[in-house]
Amino acid sequence: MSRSLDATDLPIPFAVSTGIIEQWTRLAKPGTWWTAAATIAIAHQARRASDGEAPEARGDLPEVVAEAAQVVPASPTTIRRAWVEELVASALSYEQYVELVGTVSVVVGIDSFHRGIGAALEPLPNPTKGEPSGEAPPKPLQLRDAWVPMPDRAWIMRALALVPAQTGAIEDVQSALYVTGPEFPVLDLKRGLDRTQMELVAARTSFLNECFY
Amino acid sequence: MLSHTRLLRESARITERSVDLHAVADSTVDSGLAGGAALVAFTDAAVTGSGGLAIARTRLRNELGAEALVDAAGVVGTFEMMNRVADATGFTEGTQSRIEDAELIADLGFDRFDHAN
Repeated sequence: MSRSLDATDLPIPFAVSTGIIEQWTRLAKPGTWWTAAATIAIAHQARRASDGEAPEARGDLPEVVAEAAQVVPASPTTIRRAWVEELVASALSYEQYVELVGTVSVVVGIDSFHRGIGAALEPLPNPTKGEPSGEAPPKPLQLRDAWVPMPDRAWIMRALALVPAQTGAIEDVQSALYVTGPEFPVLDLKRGLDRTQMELVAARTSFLNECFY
Repeated sequence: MLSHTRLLRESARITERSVDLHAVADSTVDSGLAGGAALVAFTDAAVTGSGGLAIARTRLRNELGAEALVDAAGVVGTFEMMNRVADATGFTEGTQSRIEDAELIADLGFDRFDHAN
C-alpha cells in the first residue's frame, strides 16, 4: 500500500494501490528522453500548476520546460499546434515533449484520484541516477493531422506512441483506475459502479474539461 | 466526451436501461441512472475544484457505497489524465466518427469544444 492510501478507511483494490506504486517507482527512474531528476522536476511543476501556483525557478529545468509542465495540467484547452511547434523548434524534441505530456498527465490523474477519495497526495519520489534510454518506437512515426508524430488512424491510447514507455504508463494507469484492456468492451461490467455509471462519470469529466475526444 | 457518451449510450442499451444523455452536458438533467445526480455532483466538484468535494464525496458514499466512491474517483482520475493527453497531442476523433454521431454532437453541443481543429 502507498503511504497516502494506507491512511484511508476506503476499500482500495490491490490493483489500484500497486498500480500507483508502480507509477511512482517508474517516475523515480531515468525515462526515455529525460533523466529521473528532470522527470521529478516536471512532476513538481505540474503539481504546482494544479494548485494554482506559478512555475518555481529551481535551476533543474529550463524555464520554457517548466512552463510547459504547467500548461499541460492547468490549461490544456489553450494548447494549439503552433504552441507545440514553437516549443519543439526552440527547446525540446517531439520525443521529449511527448514524454513530458505523459509524465504530467499521469501525475494529474493519480493526484486527482487521491483528492477524489479524500487522501493526501503521495509524495513525489526521490530520483535515481542514470541516463535516459533513448528507446525509439518499433516503427518510425510521421507527423500527420495531430500535433506530434503518432500512428496513422491512431486511437487515443496510441497518442504517445512516439515514446513507448509512456503508452505503457497511461495503459497501466487506466487499468488500475478505470478498466483493463480486456474489460474495455464489457459494457455490462459491474463493480462498485456499473459500467453505465462509470461512463456517465467519464463523459461528464471530459465535458467539464472541454475535451471533444 | 464523444467517445464515452457513446459508451454511456451503448452500456445503457445493452443493460436495458434508459439514460438521458443530456445529463453529460447539463447537470440539472436527471440521467435516470441510480445515484446519477450524486455521481455528477462528485464529478463536478472533483474536476472543477470549485469547492464542495467533501460534501459530494459523503453524499456519493452514502448513496452508492464506499466501493462506488473509489470507482468514481478512479474514473475521474483516468479522464483527467486522458483529456490532457488528447489536448496536448492534438488527438482528434476520426472523420467517420464525426459523421456517424453528427446528430449526437449537435444535440449535446459538443462541437463547440472541438478546439483541436
